[in-house]
Amino acid sequence: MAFALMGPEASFFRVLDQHRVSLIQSLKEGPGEAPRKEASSSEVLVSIENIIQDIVTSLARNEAPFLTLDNRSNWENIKFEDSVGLQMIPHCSTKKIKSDSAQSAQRFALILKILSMIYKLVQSNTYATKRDIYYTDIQLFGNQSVVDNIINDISCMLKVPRRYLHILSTSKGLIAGNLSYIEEDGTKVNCTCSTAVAVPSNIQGIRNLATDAKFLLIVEKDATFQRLLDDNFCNKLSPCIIITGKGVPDLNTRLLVKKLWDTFHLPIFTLVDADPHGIEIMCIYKYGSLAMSFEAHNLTVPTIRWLGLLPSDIERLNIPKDTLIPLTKRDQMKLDSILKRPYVTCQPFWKKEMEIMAELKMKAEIQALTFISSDYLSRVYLPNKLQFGGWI
Amino acid sequence: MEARAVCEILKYVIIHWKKEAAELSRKALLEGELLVSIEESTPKHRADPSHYVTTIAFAGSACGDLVPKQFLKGIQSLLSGFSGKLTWPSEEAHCAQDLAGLASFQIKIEASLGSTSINSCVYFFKKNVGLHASFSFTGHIRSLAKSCPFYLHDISRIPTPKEWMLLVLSGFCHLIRKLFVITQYQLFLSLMAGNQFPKVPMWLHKNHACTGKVDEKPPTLMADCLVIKQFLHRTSIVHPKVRFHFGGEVNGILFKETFGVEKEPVVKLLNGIGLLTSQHHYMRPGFLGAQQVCSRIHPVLGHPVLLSIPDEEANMGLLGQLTLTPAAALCPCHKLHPDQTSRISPLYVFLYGPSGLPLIFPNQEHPLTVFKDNSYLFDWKKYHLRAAPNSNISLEDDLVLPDVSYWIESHERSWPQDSDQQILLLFLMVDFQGGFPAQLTEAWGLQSLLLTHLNSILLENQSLVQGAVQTAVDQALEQHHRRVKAQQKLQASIPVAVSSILSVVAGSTRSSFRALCLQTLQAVDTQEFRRRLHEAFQMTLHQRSMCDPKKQQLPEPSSSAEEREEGDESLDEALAGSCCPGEAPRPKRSCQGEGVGRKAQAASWLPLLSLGEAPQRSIGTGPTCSQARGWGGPETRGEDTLWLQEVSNLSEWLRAGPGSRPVP
Repeated sequence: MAFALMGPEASFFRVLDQHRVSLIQSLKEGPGEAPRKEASSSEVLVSIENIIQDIVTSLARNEAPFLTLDNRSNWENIKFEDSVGLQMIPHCSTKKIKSDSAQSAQRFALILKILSMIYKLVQSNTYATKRDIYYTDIQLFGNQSVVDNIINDISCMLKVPRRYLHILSTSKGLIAGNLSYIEEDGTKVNCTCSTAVAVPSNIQGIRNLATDAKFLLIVEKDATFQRLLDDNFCNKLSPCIIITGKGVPDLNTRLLVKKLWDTFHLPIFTLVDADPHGIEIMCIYKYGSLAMSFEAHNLTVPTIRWLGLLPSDIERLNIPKDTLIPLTKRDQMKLDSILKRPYVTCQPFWKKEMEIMAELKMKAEIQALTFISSDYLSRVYLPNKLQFGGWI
Repeated sequence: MEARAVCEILKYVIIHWKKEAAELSRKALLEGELLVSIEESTPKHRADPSHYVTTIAFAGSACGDLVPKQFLKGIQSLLSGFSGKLTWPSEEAHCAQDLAGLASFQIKIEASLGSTSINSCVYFFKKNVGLHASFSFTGHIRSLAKSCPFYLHDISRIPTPKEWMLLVLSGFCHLIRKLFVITQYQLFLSLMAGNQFPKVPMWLHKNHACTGKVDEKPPTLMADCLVIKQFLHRTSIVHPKVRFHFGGEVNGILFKETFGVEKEPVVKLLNGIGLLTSQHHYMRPGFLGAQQVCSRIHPVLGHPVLLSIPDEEANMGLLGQLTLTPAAALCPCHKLHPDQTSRISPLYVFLYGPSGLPLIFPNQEHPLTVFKDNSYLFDWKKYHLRAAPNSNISLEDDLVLPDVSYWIESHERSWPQDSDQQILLLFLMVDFQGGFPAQLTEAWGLQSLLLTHLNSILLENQSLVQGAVQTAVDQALEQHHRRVKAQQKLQASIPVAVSSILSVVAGSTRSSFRALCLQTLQAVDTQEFRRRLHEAFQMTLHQRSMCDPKKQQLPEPSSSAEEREEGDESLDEALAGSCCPGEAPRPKRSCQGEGVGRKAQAASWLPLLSLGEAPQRSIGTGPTCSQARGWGGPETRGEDTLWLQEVSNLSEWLRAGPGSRPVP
């Protein structure tokens, strides 16, 4: 790679390099990744045809057809594995979407509608975004989240990752730093420029990925991400990559993070607000979400570490009290819920940080560091943490 | 006997039943069987066409120990207005004095009202008669069916089931080995012959019969018949487990009718009062909108309101708690045709007093002038409607007739001529709880006392009554709108599902898949496939809307309107969207479980109406007879088999001739 190197001296990355070595070592010692089933187009088509055939058979028997979906919103259907994250158990509880119930008939019809659209996309080897699907009949779908949810349900029902359904989502994530790749359509992308690049919508189609980055920093919020760009963080701590999902990450951002980990085994860190919502976002990157647990193997990166902002940093850095925000009832509930999650037991330091937050009854945004100094984050906080291993 | 007198006796009988039943459970629906028949009196009177006999026979599960003297005294007092006269059976030469513990008796009631005279005989069979070894009957059995008159003395054949249909019992019990059982409107003759005695007659002791003679001119009699019929129909609506048989022969014309048929859907309201929900009681088949697939009404029970009794009325004997509970429903149910335009046209008000008895006799000029005020019950403006009293209520109608009726028109909308009409049914249940338990005659007298004073009480409590009624109506309308909305959702989903399936099938390049789909629905091309898909989806929705037999045959829930605070679900929720067309129940589809939990949580504010079972043939039950068993159930069929066996034995016994019969 021929990137301009303006970063710190090599010794700066000593701890980071050690961390990377240990990650790679643990990867070798670990159980290894489960073989991922790649679905061919014909398999997807046959799966859809089987569903249609079952419905037609039910109707011929004068029985109201129904679709059986895995219950994606039930923690009882989830198992936790440190090396994978949150996964759906093989024989999980299901829910029935009945065609003769006023509560589910509409959903039943909409699932069929989207299944028929997927069928055409796969058949014709074309792709559409979730937004495209929504816009085919706005009135019918009502809102985008209905479409998003149904697509996830279908993906789970067919046991096929979304990309094999030929459905893409418009990426909201941004990436910058020491990275270049070629998109599916042949477009060469170099992320070293001072402006960020949108996360591609077809991660599967990316090829020729190249980087010398020592680490990947996931930034929760777009505002912080832009500030880091403005502060020339990528050059100051070069070589590195920063990425943001602009809040709760979309699938493409998660897929890209996963792809970068799988390809380069980079140390990955998160920079999130010291609040329950920030922790939740970090957990999604690291261990996955309840709703997408059926695709955990493709999405989670359990090696991700929490760099900041740690609740313990509030006291350690003597962040002014007036920049802190009291935890709301909703925050408190969220924090309690995270503390009960299965992965917390294997993250004692995280647990401790969350307990500190609960004790303080306060939360802090990353921006709180600007009260110390306007470029404190990029000039002091992050370099120190990275240099001395201030992650957990 | 004039209709009013008959109705008063019927009221008395039902009050007695109700009183007995209340001692066991206030919530349980009254069960029993009541027969009223009118026929020409005796052969010697046949020259006089105006001489008729009215027979009232009844059998109830909760008749308990009927004390004949008190019971008849009560009847005597209530018939005092009709110059009635009672004669005790002991005064009769044929009376059986003592049958080893059997308190059998016969009573002859003679009364005269102008040209009317009454002869009534009431038979009483004490509890253990069925078990008693020695019991017989002399007198005569008259058949109301002209074709088969026969007498017990010279029975030489077993009557056919058809002939049994309208047999009426009169006479005495004083010999042995013969037993009569009235079930439904059949009189079964069974002979005790050793071990062949069936178990079924265990409940015989709870049968009672009463016969009266009448001299009336046929036109008056016909009118009386209509009044009695309407009274029975009105009563049967709220006592769904009592079967009312009305039949006889007037002017050579045989007629018979039964109210409270088996398997009719029932909603349990409160205090042991139910409501038959088949729409045919309330609207004619030809009524616009009557062609609906759902043939039920879905009543919503309002909150009971405690009416304050003005001092004047309280001093007249109305000391206690007077409550009014409204229930409202729309008829017919438009669930399955939500897109049809419908308008609420008439409002029918049915007023019931304590014990679920009609407060107003059919065709009676009643003193309830409050209802002449169109706005007494409703603020019509709220619904953008206006009302006008409708006096066009004809006794000739087969429907259950309301006490008050209004025509309703919309202020704003002009409805298309062919738009379906919906009747707003409003049931007003008035109940009175005195400080002390009322005697039978007092309870009976309360009915007329209430009617006399109800007008001023209602006037005094207008805002309360209006509030309660409007709440019930609002809920009925809301429930109706919910049903319609749900149905619209279902209907709207069908075209989407159909076109999606068709899109996959038509677009598939796998010929085996295409062929299999078309073949499964027996379609030759995609066009027919689309049509078949649509029909099949519609059929599944239709099936769902029909009665779920499993739910229909549920035993009565113990819950009632009184328990609504516990957050019980409404009838609507309990039915899970079922609309019963009143057809024979279809087998339950293999459709997966319903969201009962969800439904149970929903609409907890709605008053509780529980789904009860249709009235059954369990007339009276002995101490070991299961009252809960339905006659349509396998156990009952077993009993029927026993009966058939018994009849067969009897037949053989008779054919064998006197010499071969066992010695009594």
